[in-house]
Amino acid sequence: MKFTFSFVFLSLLFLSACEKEEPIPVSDTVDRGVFVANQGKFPDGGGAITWIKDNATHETDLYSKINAATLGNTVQSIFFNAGHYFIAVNNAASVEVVDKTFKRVKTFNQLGFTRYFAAWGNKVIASSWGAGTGTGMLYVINEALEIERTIEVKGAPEKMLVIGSDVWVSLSNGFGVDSLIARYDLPTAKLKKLTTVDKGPNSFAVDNLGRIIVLCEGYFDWLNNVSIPGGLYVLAPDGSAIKLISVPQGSGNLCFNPASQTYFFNSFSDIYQYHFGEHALITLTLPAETSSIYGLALDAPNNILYFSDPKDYASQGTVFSINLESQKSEKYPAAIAPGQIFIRN
Amino acid sequence: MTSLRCYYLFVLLLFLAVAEAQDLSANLDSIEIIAPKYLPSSRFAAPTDTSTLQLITWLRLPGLSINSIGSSGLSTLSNRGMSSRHTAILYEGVPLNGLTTGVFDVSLLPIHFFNRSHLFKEGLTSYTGNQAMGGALSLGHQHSGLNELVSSAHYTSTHNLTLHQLWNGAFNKVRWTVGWERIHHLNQQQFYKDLQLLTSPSFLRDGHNLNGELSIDLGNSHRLTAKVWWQDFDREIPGPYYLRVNQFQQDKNLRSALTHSWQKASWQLDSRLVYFDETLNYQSPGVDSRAKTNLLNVKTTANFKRLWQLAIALQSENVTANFYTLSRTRNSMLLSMTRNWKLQHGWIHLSVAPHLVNDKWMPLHADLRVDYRSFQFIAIRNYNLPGFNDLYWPSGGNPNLKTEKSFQLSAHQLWQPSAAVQIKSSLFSYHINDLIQWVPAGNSTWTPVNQKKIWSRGGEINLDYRPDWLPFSSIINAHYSLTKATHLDDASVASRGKQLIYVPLHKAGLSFKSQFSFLHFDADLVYLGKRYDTTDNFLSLPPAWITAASLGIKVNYKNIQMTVDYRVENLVQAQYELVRSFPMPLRYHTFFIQIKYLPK
Repeated sequence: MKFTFSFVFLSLLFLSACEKEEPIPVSDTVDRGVFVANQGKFPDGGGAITWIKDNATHETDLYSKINAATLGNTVQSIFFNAGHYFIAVNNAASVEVVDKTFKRVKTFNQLGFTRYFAAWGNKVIASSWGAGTGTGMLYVINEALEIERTIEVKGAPEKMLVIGSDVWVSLSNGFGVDSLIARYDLPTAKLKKLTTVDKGPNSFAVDNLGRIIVLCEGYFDWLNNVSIPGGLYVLAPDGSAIKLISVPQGSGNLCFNPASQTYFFNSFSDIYQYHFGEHALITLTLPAETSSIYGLALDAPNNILYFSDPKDYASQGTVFSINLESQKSEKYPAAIAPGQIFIRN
Repeated sequence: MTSLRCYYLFVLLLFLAVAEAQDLSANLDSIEIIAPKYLPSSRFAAPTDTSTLQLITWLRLPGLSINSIGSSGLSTLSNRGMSSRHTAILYEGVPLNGLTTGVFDVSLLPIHFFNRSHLFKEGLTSYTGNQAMGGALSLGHQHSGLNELVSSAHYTSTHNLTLHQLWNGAFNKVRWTVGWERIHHLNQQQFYKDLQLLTSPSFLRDGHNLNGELSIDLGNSHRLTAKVWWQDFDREIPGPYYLRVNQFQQDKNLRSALTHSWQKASWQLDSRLVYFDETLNYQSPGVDSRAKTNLLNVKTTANFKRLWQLAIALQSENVTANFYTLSRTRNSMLLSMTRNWKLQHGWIHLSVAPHLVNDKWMPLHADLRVDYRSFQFIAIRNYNLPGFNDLYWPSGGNPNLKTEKSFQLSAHQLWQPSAAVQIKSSLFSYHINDLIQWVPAGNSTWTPVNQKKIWSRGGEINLDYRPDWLPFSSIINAHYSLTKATHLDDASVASRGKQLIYVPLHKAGLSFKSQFSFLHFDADLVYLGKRYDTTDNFLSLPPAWITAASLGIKVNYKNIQMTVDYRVENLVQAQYELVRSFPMPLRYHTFFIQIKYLPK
């Protein structure tokens, strides 16, 4: 009798462990919105793309929802050009290509540690750190979704800037410490210029006057526990770099607001505003206490700044928005370790 | 009856406090689960056959979690919701857990040599020092007492080959064992990713374990034992979904122990010298870490009439690593005093253990265990030291970390309603304070802090049934464990009150073993409940039903005994992951042949 009772009790416990999940409907066309590349839990978690649209999180894991598949580990960035979204999954050494409905179209594998994208007309350039050999790669993907060209880069290429047929590549602190900006001629894949800046160049912006601004993050000397600050540079027409101001170590995600002629970027804990020619940074007041700031992007036409809070990198992160005019802020749930933010209007 | 009343009272109190705890404890091949007392097997231990330490071995253990990368990848154990660095793997009573990381990879254990290990479900810090706050697995080899030569080969359809040689010898007052295990594992497994059936590339693990033990009876109640264990492994570690990410690890470990015991009248004196010398090298793109650690432990224990026990241990640990700025050393003196009181129907054991680490006294810990008839109650105050990485990691290491502290309560009851049935049950409640947690600290660095608090509570029940009405000998085992392990405090607000990652709330199993003449048949079914893998329980891994079965023969011909086994793992093709993004293999097969030669 006692055994019967025990087994019934255990059976009930098992039944109580079962849960049902209801599917969430997703609209057919992923046309516009804010897209967040969530890295996923390191080192075992899969990444995700969060889609924020019409002032709400439309889907925290859009790719899985549409494709019934996982993106892999670690999702670094997302980009859109010429009818396709491109997703860099760096630990998986791949680039996933999805169409306007976010359905998977193609996967490029074995590309090394894929990082970011830039558009060259209808083509897309993907940067990759390579496989730890100190040599990175740029992959030029054409409209037919074929890699039509690879460019070997001496360093770890991070974000890029394309103007005309030239690409500026920041050679970042990928597997070491670097301080170079490389300019390549895309049609010939030839290196045109190497420019030395502070340690860790990682992002670009172009202002109303066409000036190219480069943000360097500095670096952290692990062995001596010393933080080396970075800097903000403007590239002169001859390719040389002029330092505008020192910035806190770890700064990244440079963006430019043409309306207010203001640059924005973030460090680990703050968002900074900078006006060209000034000698001080302005620290923005954040709408809520954040654990840290991981990604930052500006929706320039709507004057809204978005940033991501990864919390402890092992729980659901959050994306915040600040309307730079009204100072009104919103909060959107994302997935695990939300990082890069891409905005498509 | 009194013991039952005590037990019910404890159960009631725990229910009031926990509201969710119910049942309870366990058993399994080659591992005896010892819920209560430290020293040898009590009635709560389940004596079992010799077997191999396969994945199902770990999965079957109630309240124990295994986090594993694939079928034989890096694997760590954690007990009752405690972390892997709180679950000691003991060799001659000294934790093998890595000094830098605090964890031990059980996938490198010689699967045939350690044929009689013990799992201690309660904290053992009072006896073994650091790392054992959450219990311990004590590795052991049991000599057969015979002269024998054993050769075996183990091959799995994932292209893993293990060869093993064992020589047990006995001559006059000397006994010895030499074991050699050669491993060549390709770990090529089938798995599903996004509904697609894939086969992983090969991830070579190549190396060997060499174990030797020598025991000499010196006469006049003196016994000397020497043990040595040499490991040498090279392996490639897979990335998520078995992608090749150029991660390589090299382990070269020498472990040795020399013990002497002497008994006279009411006194027993045991002395031990243990020395570990370990090398762990890891390479991946951008990372080249090399660490060399060594540990020296000298311990003497005096026992008087089994009523008093005094122990003193001196231990020195050293790490030289290319990721530290300096070579780091920790010196400890561990004192332990135990008093046992004999009752009419049981015992009371009380231990107090002051430990001095780098000239600083640790929080005093104490261990109270009360045995009364078939009931046992345990109250322990334990601690765990910060790891070397926690203290000395160049960017963020925190030398001001406090020790982690825990207060543990548990109760155990054994029922034997008939000769064929035995039920063991346990309830436990563990509080851990000042748990070390790495948090982002700015400047691209993380730092450890003593912020986290955890409460782990639950129960385990284990039933053994030996039906006597069947025409062949058999045993049926069923177990269930409930582990509710939650964050009371955490750096992340969203994690508070949530279940710890990779700790299943429910775990259960059913196994059947039978033997008929020269045939034997085993079957296992394990239910692994839902496990969260984010601290706020935002994401989880689904529950899984894992099955395995084996059929074998054992035949004797003159002085040769031959065993041939065929085993199928994951019989029903469960798609499950022990660690996210590392799917466990679908059905695979194991072939085992063993030839035992017993000279006359």
